[in-house]
Amino acid sequence: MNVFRFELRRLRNSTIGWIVGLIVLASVYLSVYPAFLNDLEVISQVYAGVPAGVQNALGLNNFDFETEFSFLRFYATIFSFILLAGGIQGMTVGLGLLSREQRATTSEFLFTKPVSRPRLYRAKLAAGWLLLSLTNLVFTGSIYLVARAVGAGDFDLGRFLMIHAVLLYVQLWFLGIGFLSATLLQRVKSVPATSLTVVFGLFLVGMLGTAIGEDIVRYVSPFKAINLSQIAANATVEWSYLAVSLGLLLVSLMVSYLRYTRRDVPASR
Amino acid sequence: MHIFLYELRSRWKSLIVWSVLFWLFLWLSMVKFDSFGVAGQDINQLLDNFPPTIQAVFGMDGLNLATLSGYVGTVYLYAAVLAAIFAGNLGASVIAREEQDKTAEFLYTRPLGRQKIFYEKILAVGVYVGALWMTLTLGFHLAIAPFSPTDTDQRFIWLIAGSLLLIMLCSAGVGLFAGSLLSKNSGRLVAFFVLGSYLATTIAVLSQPLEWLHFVSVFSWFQAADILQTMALEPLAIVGALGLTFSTVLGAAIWHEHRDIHL
Repeated sequence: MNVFRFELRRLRNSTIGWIVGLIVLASVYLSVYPAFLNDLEVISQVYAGVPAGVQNALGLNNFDFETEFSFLRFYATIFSFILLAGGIQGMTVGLGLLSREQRATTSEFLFTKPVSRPRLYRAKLAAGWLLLSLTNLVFTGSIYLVARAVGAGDFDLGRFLMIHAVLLYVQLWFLGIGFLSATLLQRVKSVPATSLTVVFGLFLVGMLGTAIGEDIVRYVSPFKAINLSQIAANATVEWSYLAVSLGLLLVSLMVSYLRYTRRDVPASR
Repeated sequence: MHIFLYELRSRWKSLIVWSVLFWLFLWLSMVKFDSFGVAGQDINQLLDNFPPTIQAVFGMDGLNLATLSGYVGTVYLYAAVLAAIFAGNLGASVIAREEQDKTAEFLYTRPLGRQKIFYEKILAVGVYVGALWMTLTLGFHLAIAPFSPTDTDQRFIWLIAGSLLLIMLCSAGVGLFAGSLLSKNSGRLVAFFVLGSYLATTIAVLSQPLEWLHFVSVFSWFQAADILQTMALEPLAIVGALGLTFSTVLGAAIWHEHRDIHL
């Protein structure tokens, strides 16, 4: 319990910082919504006047403005940037938790206490899990209010929560990758530097994959494992991508557990 | 010269890894180019007339993926962000490593003077930035070679190569500054710089009232769509990038010389 409490205390301020940062970021994106809505009305008026025959020729016949431009559709688009920031938080937390003793050269201190390594691992995992869940809870509540404030109108609360659940998933995925990196790398020099590279790298691979139409990236990049627009449109996810992605998360947790409980601890320098 | 050579020796592995990853990244993205269909072209033409906010929500950035330059321009933004991460982290680590590795006492008690230590370190950063830049430029040229590029395409590659260099220099400067100012926590400032710049770019294209955010983001200073349209780098952006590099390196030099060292 001591390790758990210690980690929570140590990460308290940075977690508060991340929550505030995420809320500000999402609010800035959401502040665009009224202008977007305005643009939308102008266009739909123009296209409403177009005869049905011409609409067909333009490929507009199954282009439904109402659903294509709903609040959640808009929110799903901007949410991928929230996921990027949130992913960095997840990885920083994960990498920081398991690599701290090595960086602060307190390994001898911690590992000679009468607490087994599996227990240490569990305490650290639980602390990370709790902090990320709290982040999501506060973030989701606040953004719901912001969405109301920018005049989002009636939107499906279930789908809104589903979109937010993706954030928690991405954060936990990167918590796992952070754990994995902490146990596989010889030495972690800088937590933010490593996290930034890995998370941004996977994000860019996902963005590029979408831009050029390559679906393989959806297995690798957690950002694209779940299609946010699809959740906004009909509340479904493609299980094949999600299953592979979940599998990667489980593998990274398992490998990091085995490594953490068995590996040699180099003497502090 | 020892410090310079030491920095070069201790980092060549990470340079190789980054170069290989970059080439892999470029190669994998170009594989898709020739098979890229014109599916969705109708809807694209339709969206062309839409206001900027709506275009941005649909991921339209003024680049035509069906042309070689437009396609490379899309890849360019991602390469630029990765290059900025490399340069920023390099700059920060080169200064902060002595305190992280607890070698500061060893280094700063040599009869060298802090200025000389700093010069040798930034020289090493310069060499590494230059090396990765050459890898990138060569990579881009090789990537487009199989698709019979025109002279315009070639010129475009040189222009984005130039902007990549400027972006890397700025980021390295910010990294050096962060390393001198914050030492062990310098990674956070670099992360904030790169992530903030990238997010500022994405917000600025969405919103007219927030368009000023273009000015605070290096990635907005050199946008592929603008470069492709004018076939030149924006002079103001070049001045801005060089100014940012110069002022951050100067700030780092001054700070590095006077600061306390925490162990």
